[in-house]
Amino acid sequence: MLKGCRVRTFVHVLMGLIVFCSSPHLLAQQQDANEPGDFFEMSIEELMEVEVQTATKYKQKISEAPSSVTIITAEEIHKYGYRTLLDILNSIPGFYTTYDRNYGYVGVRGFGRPGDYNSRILVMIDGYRTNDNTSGSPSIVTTFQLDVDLIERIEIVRGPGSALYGSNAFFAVINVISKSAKDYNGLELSGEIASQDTERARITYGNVLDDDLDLLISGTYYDRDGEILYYPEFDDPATNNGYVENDDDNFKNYFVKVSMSDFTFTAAHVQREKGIPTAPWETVFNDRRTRTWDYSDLIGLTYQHDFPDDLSVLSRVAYNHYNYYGGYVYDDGGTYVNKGFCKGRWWTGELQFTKKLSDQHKFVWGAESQYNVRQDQKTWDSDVYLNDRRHSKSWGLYVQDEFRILDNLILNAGVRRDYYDTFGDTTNPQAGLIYGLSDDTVVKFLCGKAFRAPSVYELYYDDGGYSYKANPNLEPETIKTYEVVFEQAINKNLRGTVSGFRNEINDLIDQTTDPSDGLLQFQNLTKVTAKGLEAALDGKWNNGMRGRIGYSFVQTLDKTTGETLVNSPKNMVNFNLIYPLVPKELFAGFESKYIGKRKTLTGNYTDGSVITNLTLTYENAAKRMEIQMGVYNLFDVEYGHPGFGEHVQDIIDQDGRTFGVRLTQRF
Amino acid sequence: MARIKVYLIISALVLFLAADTVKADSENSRECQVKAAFLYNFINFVDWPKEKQVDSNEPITVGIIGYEDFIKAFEPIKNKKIKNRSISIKYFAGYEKLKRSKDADDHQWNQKMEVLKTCHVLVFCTCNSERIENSSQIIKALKDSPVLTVGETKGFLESGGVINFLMEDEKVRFEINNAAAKQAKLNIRSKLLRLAKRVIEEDGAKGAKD
Repeated sequence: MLKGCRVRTFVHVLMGLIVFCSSPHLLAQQQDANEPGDFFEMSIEELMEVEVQTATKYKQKISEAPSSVTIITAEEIHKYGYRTLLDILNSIPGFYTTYDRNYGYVGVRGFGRPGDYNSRILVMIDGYRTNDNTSGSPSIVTTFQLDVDLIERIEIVRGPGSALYGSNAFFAVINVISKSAKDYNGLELSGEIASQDTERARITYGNVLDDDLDLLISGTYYDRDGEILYYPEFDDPATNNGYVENDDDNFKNYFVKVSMSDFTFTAAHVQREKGIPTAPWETVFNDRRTRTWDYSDLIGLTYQHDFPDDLSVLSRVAYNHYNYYGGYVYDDGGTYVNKGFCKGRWWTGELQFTKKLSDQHKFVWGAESQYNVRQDQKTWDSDVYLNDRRHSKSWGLYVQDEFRILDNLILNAGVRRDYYDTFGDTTNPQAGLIYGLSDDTVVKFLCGKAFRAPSVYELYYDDGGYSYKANPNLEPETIKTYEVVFEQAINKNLRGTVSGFRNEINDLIDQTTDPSDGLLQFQNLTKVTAKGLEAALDGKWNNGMRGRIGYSFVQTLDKTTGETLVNSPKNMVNFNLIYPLVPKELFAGFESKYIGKRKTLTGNYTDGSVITNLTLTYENAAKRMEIQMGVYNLFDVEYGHPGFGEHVQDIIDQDGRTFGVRLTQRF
Repeated sequence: MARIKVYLIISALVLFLAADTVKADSENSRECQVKAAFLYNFINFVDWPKEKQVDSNEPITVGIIGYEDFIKAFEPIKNKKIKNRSISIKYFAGYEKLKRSKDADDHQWNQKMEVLKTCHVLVFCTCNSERIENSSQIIKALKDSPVLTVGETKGFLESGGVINFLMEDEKVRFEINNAAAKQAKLNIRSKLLRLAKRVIEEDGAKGAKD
């Protein structure tokens, strides 16, 4: 009760602060929103580094892309107070997230399959694939390799991307681009305390050491004790009346980037330990030994050079490492811990040439290969149930041509062929016709095919007749997408996008029970279609204000059952606004998202919910110091996400209102 | 459903109300301010022929055709001096719609061109994505006069302009037609040429920079 009161007082103070700050300064900001005098003090070299945002930027950058693209900038990540990649992706029109209090999952365009480990999206850091080589899963919660503060921008490309990127680029490609040394030019320390006994500290150093040598090094420590949670499904004296205390989350990560002329060396590491409070897989409720550990490493070298005659060469080599350990407590008269691990080690190599053949043709040619040194899975307690060791390789070749047929008509077509040890080969084409009706209006017609290779987990997970059996004959699942995108620059500040799409998914790899022996097995079973509409209005103003309203509608149909999919909200609305309360000093980041009801595995529905976050950023609290305050789930809405097959909970409750305060100091 | 509608309406209202309060500000664009600062720097790296430097008491004249925004952008340097000379900004209102009549000896047109020739720098400002209908004709009329023509549209150099602004990754870049500069008897110093994204050295031949 007392806590509730304190919370309410805090919200009132915040609101009061906003009203107080916004009213007297509204007039002032029109005079000093910018400091034009400063530009005249700069040299040409300095001026060349000044970022100015223009409406035409959209025309050059996004509008000619053969897909529907959303770009999230460092400024947005900062001012909306996003804490994980999951938070960021939740803000994208057409995207939604599911959190089971251990891992976070992203749904795209009505498709958020329970237990798909996000393997139907490809997540890259600076062009390096981060999806692991056992389950095909990228890490997007606290397991993500890069601290979100270090993100320069994220390019979110909807639709099939296999024609360029191969497997996993099924629904979307998410390319995270890290900041560089010159974004820091010195040392930055950041500390945060937040609800649920959360502490977070970051130290970052970035500097241009020499004309040609940039160094960025950063480390983050995060620890959240978590709160006592209540699950009515376990409300029994034998299971602590449904109360559980096992929601702790702890991670450390580091990131190093060194650039020397055309070479960039990147190293990233993250290790996380997370308690699982939901007692999945029929484990003992409220036992703190049920938890997972995730470790991942990326070491990569990129070479990029622009040669004369419009030829550029890009080459990447990377070594990746991913370990998962899980401990699950069972009761068999006495309790014991069942353990499992995945160990992945793999090399990737890529070589890409881009050549402008004439004013009309821009040609991309590339080859990519992956050698999986280890893809091991093991499950054991007193017995060993699974001990599977694998290694494999795959490679792909791709070509793409951007053919400028007319000044305002571009045909972008590409195809990629992939070879896998496991299932053979697959060819995936993609084409986009981009037509500029006027300087302000662009229409795109897009179609393409993508695939996802079956993961080692889906192919070989077999616990010796207890519950799972292997299926080494799995084929890749495929998707065909047809899309029309209409983009309109309304004025200097506003840009509208409307798109309609249709997805056809075949041979979807799904878990099913074999009636002959009652064991679970992955099979190429399901056919799914989805059709939908997305509309967004983006605004950007020179005083630092920017906003977005997005609406998305999607209707999914499982063709084998004739029903809509589980965890597939039909309607979503999001509203985002960064508003300068005091120009260049105090900003409010307001974000609100409505996600419609979602069907659960038992055929019930979660309630539709509007979740609102508010972040205030005071940029010049003291010399080079910044204070940020965030309130998440501002109106303390009770809501839940659908549970997965391993959960007793049909709906998993999400956090109520939480707070965070962050102090950042630059030196 | 009712909740979504209320929510949508409120969101839209907030965005547009918020947009309204900053409208005045957005017109005074940051892009123009940065470009004005570029122009200010360019003047240091361009040498005009003697005929244009007779009297050092005379200010350096920057003429603007098109969008007015540059005038505001230049405000902070009203009292500054470059090369020991003050700067005077002239706005040629209505010139963006200037038309040359078919009469070869169009008196009015010629008179206006003579006025433009007195400028050191002439900016064709299309910040607001407005077109300047006869910019190429104006450039043609000025081509032998020592006027540094600056534009911000694709193809500006090809139509005979000297410096053109372009955007790359949200940053301002520029390209130079050194052949046109030479014809206008302007000497562009090598440092500026080096920083340009692209330099046209001779008519027809385009040099690309890495």
